[in-house]
Amino acid sequence: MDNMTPQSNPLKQYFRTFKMYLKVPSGTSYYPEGSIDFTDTGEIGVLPMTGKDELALKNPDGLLNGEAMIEVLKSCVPAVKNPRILLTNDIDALITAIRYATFNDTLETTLNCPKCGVENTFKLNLQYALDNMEYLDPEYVVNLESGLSIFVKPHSFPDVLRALQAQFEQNKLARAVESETLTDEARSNIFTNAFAKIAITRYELMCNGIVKVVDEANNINVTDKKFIKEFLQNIDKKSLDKIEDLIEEINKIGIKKTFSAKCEKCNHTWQSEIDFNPVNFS
Amino acid sequence: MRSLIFLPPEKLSDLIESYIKDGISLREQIVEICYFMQGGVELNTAWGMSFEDREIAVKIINKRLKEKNPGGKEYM
Repeated sequence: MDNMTPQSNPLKQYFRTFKMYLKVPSGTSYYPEGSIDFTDTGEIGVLPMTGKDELALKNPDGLLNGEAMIEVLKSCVPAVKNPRILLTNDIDALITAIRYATFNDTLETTLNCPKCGVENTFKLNLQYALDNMEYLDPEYVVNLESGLSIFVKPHSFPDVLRALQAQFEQNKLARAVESETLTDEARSNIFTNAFAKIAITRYELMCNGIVKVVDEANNINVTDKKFIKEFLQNIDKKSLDKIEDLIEEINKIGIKKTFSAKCEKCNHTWQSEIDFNPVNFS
Repeated sequence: MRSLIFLPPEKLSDLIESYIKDGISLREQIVEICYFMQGGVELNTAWGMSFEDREIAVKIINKRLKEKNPGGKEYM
C-alpha cells in the first residue's frame, strides 16, 4: 500500500524557482483554453536555464530544426505545455525573458557603422526591452473590397521555422548559382524551381496566418484551411498584399526589435535591428 | 537561429566552432563542480543547476580551497 502513496521528492526545495513572471505579447486570448497555465494575472512564470538547456542551445542542428528551442522552452516555461503552438511574438519575448532569468544581463551585439565601417559593440538592456513590449490586439481584420473580412494572426513557431529553413535553402541555392561551372540552362532551372518553392511557402504561410474568412452579409464563415488556400490562389494581388502586409506587421509586435545606434568613432546614428535569437545566448 | 541562417559559410564554420568550444567548457565546469563537491552533487543534479547556481558553487569551492591552502591558486 505504501508503494501506492505518491512520494514527495525530498530534493524539491532545491529545484529552480521562477525568476520572473511575464505577460506575453499575445495576452491570454490567442491560445486554446488549457494549453497554457496562466497565473490569475495572465502571466507566465519563467525559470532560468539549466546547464543542459545551455548545452542544447549550442547544437547548430538543434537550432536549425527548432528542437533546441522547444527543449529550452519546455524546461524554462513549464506553463506552456506545447511550445510549438506559441506565436512568434511570444517566442521572442520568452527567449529574452529566459536569457534575462539565466544571466541577468544585457544583450551584446556587434555592428559595423554604415558610414565609416568601424565595428561597434552595443549593450542592450533586456529588462528595458521586456518592460517596453507592445501587446497584440485581441483580433486583426483585413477588410477586402469584395466585402470579405479576413481575420489574421501572427505566425506560430512551425511557420517561423519553415520560413527560416526556406530562407536557408534559398541562401544555399544563391551560392550554388554563383558557380562558374553551371550552364545558363542549369542556372535558369535552379531559379525557376527556387521561385516556385518560394511561392508555395508564401501561400502556405499566409494560409496559416488566416484564422477565418467572414462575409456577414451572406452568412459565410470559413475556417477550413483547404478552402482558404484555394481562396488565396484565386484573389487579386492587391488583396493578397493587403493580407500579407498585415500579417507581417503583427508579427513584429512585442519586443521592440529596433534600436538607435551611435558610432563611437564618427558619431553617426542609425536605426538597427536587434537579434533576439539563441545565437546570441552565449 | 536567424543569424545561423544568414551567415556566410566562412562565418558559419567559426560560429559552429565556438559552439563546440562553449559546449566543452560547460561540460568541464559541470564535471569539476561534481569533483570538487566530493560527491555532494552528482552529475545529473549538476546538469540541472542554473548558471547563477553554478557561479555560486564555483565561488564557494574556490573560497574553501583558498582557506585550505591560502597560497594556492583558484582551481575553477
